[in-house]
Amino acid sequence: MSSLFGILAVARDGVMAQTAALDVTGQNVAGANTPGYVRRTPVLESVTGGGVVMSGAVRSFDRFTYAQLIDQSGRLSSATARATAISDVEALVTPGADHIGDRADALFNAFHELTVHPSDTAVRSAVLSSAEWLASGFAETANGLDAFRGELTTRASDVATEVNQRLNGIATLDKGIIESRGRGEDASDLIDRRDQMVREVADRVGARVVESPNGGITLFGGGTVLYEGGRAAQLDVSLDTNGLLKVQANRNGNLIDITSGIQTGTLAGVKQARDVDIAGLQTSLDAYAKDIADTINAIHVTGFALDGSTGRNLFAPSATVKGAAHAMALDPAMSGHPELLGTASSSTDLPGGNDIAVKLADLARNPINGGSTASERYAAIASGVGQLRTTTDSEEAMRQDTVATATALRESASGVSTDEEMIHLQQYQRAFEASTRVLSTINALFDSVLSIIR
Amino acid sequence: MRVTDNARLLGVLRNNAISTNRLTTASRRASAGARVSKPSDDPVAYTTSVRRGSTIANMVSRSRTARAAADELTVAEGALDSATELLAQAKSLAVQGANETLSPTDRNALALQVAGVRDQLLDLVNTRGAGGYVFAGTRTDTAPFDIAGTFTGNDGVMRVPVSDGVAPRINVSGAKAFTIAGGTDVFAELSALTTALNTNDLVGIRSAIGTVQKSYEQVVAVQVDSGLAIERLHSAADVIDTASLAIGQARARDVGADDLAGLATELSAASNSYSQSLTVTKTLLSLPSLAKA
Repeated sequence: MSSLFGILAVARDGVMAQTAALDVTGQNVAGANTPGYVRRTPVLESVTGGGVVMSGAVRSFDRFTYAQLIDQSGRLSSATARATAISDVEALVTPGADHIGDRADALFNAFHELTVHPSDTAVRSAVLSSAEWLASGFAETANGLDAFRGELTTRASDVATEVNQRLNGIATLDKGIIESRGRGEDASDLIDRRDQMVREVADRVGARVVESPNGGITLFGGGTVLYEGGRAAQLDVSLDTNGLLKVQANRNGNLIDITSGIQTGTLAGVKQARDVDIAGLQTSLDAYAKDIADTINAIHVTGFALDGSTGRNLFAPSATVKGAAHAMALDPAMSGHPELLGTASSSTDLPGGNDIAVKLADLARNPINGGSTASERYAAIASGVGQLRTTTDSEEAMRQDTVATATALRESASGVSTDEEMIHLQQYQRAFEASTRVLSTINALFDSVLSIIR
Repeated sequence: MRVTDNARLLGVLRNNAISTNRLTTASRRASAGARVSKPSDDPVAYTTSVRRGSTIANMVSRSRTARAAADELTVAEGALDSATELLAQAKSLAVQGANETLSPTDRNALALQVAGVRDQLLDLVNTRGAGGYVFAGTRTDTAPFDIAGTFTGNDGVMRVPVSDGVAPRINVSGAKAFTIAGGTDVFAELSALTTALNTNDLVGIRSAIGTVQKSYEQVVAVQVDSGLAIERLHSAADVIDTASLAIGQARARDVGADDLAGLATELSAASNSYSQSLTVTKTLLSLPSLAKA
């Protein structure tokens, strides 16, 4: 049988429950733009005797959309890191004017001029400066590529440091979550923050999560365990003996090489650009530099200089393909000595003999060592860079689309809608007002009863 | 599907980024005046354009060197032309000297004139062009004939390639024009004529008429050759210029530089879609919200 006191208790429960629900709505509105925030729904339950209580707030978390999002955003980060690196490379290797192909053409044109004026010092000097210009084109490009690789090494180390900070953060949060849950407390805030950090790790090295019944997680990345049972691995980036990036995970003092396991995340894109794309380009550039220098030297060495001497290289010869572009330069003996250019095939033809100059000029149209003309070799390298840029750009655009879809799905499941929250606000406010109305009514009834007694 | 405010705004941001990107690309192309200005615009077209660019650079250089070589040859041809006039003059002096009515004094006077012709010819054969002595073969740095008319040059040939497999000679053979290598030693014959005139050697004078005529024909033959070579170099340069123009047009077509209207259309389409995207953004941002009530 109901009593005024009983109704008073029910109304009090109502006020408290609606206040708690309003608190959740407030949290949702406040967290609308917080990265990783998952919308909460208050759970209101009836209690024996007719009252209501808010037993907790449920996180609207969808494991599938979350896994999708961290997977796709890892792939996007990888594609973006690679595309950014390659767009820099394109500008370096294929500038709008005065690229290596143009410089090779200029040298052959200077040889051409030499065929008509083999003994003219001004023309000879022009040949030397064109040769120097070509050599510096190779050296500058090679240095530029080296600088890019150096920057990417630094970037990889930075990424590893960022990952390590987050792995430590995840360890702290994960332990906190397990403890809170053990005490029966709401750990939603900690979970939001931990999941956000997992996503940030995934962006950098790729990650996959397995959840334990106690609320803790095991985090896999780079083909190994990055976090488990309160212990976070630490990543270390170094260079191997070939100058390639080497990524190691330090787990409890054991170093595990995870280089080949890193398939997504910024680090994967950096690794691909640095050790595959740019390294490949350096190899082609070196081969091109060596072939063009060797071909020209082989002809020039047979030519006789104005002083009757012979057997000189025009370019300092490089013994190996590796580093040839770097080292490309005029032969020290030739530098500043236009009279030493070998233009005639015999000392008796000096100074007007031009048959060696003709052979050198003909290189504009003849294949150099390794096949194809000098200009075609440049075109092949440029086209390779162009293809690479096209591929990486479209990969990035494609990943942006998939991440946009995954984000929309995640937002749909877990995001905050302001309009929804405004409606909830109204809903709980009305219920709150109604409960207070019940309280004031009961209060009036008490007054009536008390006035009878007086 | 549940659409939250953030999902809507992220969509707007992304669409804006796409249309901004498109506008940037279109304006870059329009201001460069070409669809392809870097390899990633179109790797295949870029490669073709580099190859064609290199071919054009090579052709321009060939055409320029062909014309420069023709200029050098023209200097030599001019000298040869003057040489033929001098030899014709020497021949007419010889014919006069063969006249039996002339006195020895007259012949001495003629001999002086022939010696003068020989001196002038000696000047001519040591003519210099931009590349040195034009009749010295490849020994272009030293005068090919000394005061005695002895040849110290060589018959070295200089050629320049003007097109694949074609490399015409770009120097004149001084040896074939003036020395025994061509059949007659011109200076020796002129000296012989002078001597015959000075010594009243009528037989010698008569035979000199023939040899001076031969010298004349020898120089003319070389002059004709050089004239032909000049022609060949000029026409080769003309052919190269025409061809490189055609390749230049093909190159412009490859990189889309021949379709400025197309580039302008692309730009205006991109700027339209950009404005539309902005309009959509404004509309979405100004949607009424329960939070504003």
